Amino acid sequence: MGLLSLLILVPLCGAALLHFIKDGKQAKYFALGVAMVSFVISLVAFTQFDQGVTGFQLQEKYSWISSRTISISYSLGVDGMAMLLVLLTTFLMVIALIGTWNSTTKSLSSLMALLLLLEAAMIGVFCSLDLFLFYIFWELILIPMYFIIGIWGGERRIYSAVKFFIYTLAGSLLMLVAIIWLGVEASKVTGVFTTSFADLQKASAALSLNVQQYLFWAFAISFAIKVPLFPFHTWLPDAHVEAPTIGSVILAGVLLKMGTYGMIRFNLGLFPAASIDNATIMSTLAVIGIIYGALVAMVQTDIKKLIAYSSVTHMGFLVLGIFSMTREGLQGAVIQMINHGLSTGMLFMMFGMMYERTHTREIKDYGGLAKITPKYAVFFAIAMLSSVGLPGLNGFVGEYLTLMGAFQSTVLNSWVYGILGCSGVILAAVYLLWMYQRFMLGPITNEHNRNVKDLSTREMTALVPLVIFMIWIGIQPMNFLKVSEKSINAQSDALLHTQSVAPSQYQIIQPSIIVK
Amino acid sequence: MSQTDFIAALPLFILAGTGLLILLWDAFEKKPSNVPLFLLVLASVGAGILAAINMTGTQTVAFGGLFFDSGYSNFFTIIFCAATAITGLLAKDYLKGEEVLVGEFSALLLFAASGMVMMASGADLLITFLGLEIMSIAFYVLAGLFRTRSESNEAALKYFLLGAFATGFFLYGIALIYGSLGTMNLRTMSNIQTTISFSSGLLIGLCLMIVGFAFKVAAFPFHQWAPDVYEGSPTIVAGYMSTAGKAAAFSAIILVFSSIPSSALAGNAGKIQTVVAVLAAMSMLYGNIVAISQTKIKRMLAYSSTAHAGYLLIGIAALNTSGAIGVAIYAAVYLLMQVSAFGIVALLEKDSEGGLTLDDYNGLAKRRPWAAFFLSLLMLSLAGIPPFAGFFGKYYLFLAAINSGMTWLAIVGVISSIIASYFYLRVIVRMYFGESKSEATETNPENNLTYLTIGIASIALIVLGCMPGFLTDAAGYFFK
Repeated sequence: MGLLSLLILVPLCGAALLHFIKDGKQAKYFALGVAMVSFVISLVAFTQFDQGVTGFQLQEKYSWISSRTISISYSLGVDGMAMLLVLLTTFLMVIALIGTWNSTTKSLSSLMALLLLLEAAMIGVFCSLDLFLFYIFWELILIPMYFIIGIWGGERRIYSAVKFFIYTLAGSLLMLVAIIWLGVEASKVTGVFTTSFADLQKASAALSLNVQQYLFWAFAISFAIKVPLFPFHTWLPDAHVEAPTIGSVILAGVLLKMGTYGMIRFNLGLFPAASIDNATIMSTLAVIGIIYGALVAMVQTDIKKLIAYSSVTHMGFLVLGIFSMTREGLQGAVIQMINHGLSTGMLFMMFGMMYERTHTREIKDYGGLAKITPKYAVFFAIAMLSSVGLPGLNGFVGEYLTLMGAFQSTVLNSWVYGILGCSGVILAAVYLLWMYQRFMLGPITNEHNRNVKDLSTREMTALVPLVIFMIWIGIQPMNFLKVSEKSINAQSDALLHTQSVAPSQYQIIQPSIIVK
Repeated sequence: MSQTDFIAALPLFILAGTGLLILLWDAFEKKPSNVPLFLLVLASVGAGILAAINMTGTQTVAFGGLFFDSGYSNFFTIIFCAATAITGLLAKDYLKGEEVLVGEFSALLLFAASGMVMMASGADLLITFLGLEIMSIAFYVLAGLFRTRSESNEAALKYFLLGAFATGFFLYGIALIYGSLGTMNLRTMSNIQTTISFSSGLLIGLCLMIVGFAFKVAAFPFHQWAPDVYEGSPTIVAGYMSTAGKAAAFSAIILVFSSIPSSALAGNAGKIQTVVAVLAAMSMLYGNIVAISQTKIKRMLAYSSTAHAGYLLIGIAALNTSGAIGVAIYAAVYLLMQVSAFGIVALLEKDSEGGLTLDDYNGLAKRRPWAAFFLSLLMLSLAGIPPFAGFFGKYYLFLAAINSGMTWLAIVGVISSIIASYFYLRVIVRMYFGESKSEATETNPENNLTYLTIGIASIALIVLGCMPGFLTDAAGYFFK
């Protein structure tokens, strides 16, 4: 059994074993132990990962469902982008568990089991090289997240949980049809129905542009809901606001990345011609999302909602970078996935810490907290500035690269996207700094807040690693960019090569490539 | 009767013979006992194992061309036997304390099962019809098993009257098919090479037959009986009718459809396909949409069973081998899900007074964590969420539809699945997120056999969902 299987299996077995641990405290320690073991395994996998090679590594493949007409395999593998996301997942899980250690006492062993199940499924999503397997992990995410929001959430938790579930399911079922469709197309050539990524890539290249378009949208809508891209974002504020802190951290930190990961891997990977065709539509939606999200965030009175809408903006940058299809844009998108996971994850976690103390989410109930909780104010400022995109912190690198990609892109071929995207950076400074001002600075308006305690050692333990990574990526981004550089460059070059051949010629040329 | 005939029909003999034995035994034994149930389970497990051993890869006929002995019929026989065995196991706790003669219940269940076996193996339309009637008559009586309850009587009468009417359609269909093809034997039919003159008669005959079958599987618009009958019948019987009964009807439809030569249908094959596809689409949408507005769980499951009939009809509409395999796989998976779900409903119905409206499920997770856990697992599987087996069943049916060029039907299936997820989730919402009205905890802890049965079925659903290769292998083995 390979490292990646182990990485999925460890949290999965942990979740099953938690069934036998009834004591809440023991369950927490056990879950933390399992999360740490997973993190160590992912680090081991990282040391074995060769950054100088394109394509998938650490591959495993076992036949899973096979007959004369069907061949579906359990096949795992990572390239640079997936490797980074796996590391982010295992890392954030440990941090989130430490950071929210005392936030809930309600049936802890079930919560921990669901979190570990979630971790296994998330790692599975990033490692699957078979679309059937990918789809199973993709849907498996829904079940634990649904229960986490529904049982441990706030007042409107049931509404949010059901909305989250059905919204996401609606998108992914369309993707299911597209997956089967592609598999059937592939079987027309080879005679065997398959969902292997490599085989489908060959099959889709042979399709006419028209058919590619349908399939592109079936995948794109499913991922756009997960990202979420405007106008599919309406589930996000509800889910974030009602989810317990650890749910929000994982949702913002990792779950949203599944959408952008899917866009890069499957939309660009399977339907290059259709992606180029629709790049302007997707980028327009992304730009609308950037500006709309920022404007809506500005007027929020609920801090959790504000952070949720800031996610809509940030994910807009990601999508803009992806559909610029340049090396810079795609690399920026990958690094921005990590950045957003760190900074928004940290913002949600820190606000969760404050919420435990004060039990209010309204901005007007705060003010002047910097005087009472100076350490908290410093850490919150770092997370907030990272989210704003201050040079020297991680957010700047990602936004700079994605915007540069948008300006340079020959696919988009217009500076409008870049300019409008830049306005999002300014707006981010407005709503986040303004929020910080009302939250932390000024006179103490609410007397109840006088007794709020500052960060404890445990909370600092969770936050310091996040800050280290923020500064590290901000100052020395190449350490991280290098991981995904080879595979992303190859993908971008392949895409732009597709574009340099006119679409009509493209259809004539492709079949001959397949015959070869 | 030669030896091959005997071997071919051995599962059938075991089921019917044990039924007769139980009737006889019951006449002498006056004390209530669980021996008939024990015999029932033993016979169905035995017949199922025999069918598995007995099966031959190639299709052979017995009884002078009246009876198929093929992997296909044996695969379905195993499904029926499994349904019967599970229902028998659930019945022990359910029938306890009821004024029901356990012997009669067991005998009727076995007779119904033997009717189903005849439907799956009938190589002649007469045998198919005989099987259908044996099964149906047993069902009519089973629906009215609770003699003293008016709802049970109403269910039986309603089912009987409408069912008899549907049988008329079915029989008239057989007559027209006979009139146009000149034979009722499926093997002879499939060898007809020439174009026939009375092809519209054949078309009408097939359509009438579809009406009869659609009634039995409760497909839209022939489903009206189902909610009332499922609600009034004993709960485990409803579970049995909605799964094994459906599987039997589908096994017969596939046999008939695959035997009609395409040359005889001339250009009409496409029409039949369209009719079935429209039935499938309407059943899926109607069943799932109406299920949303139900307040009683049995009615909700009844409407959702109409939707599941729609999913199964996708496989028929696809008119290809992968469609037939898809139906077989989904029938097997659906059996595990639906019978177990009705089993849990039966359990709750027994120890609380109500247990039938959705409100009774509020906060169930606190009162009965295991029942809530199993029921939510079953609901997720019924909704078709991976990694449960329900997902793979649907996956295979959608695959069959797209394979035969009916992508639109797969999309309708997907849309109706989204609708369905709403009401399936609502049950989980009530059980886990809702507040319980009463603080009463487990009042009747002696339901170990029910829990055990449902637990095994649930584990099977997870195992089959994670290793669906087992199902396709089995289907591939039987459908050579």
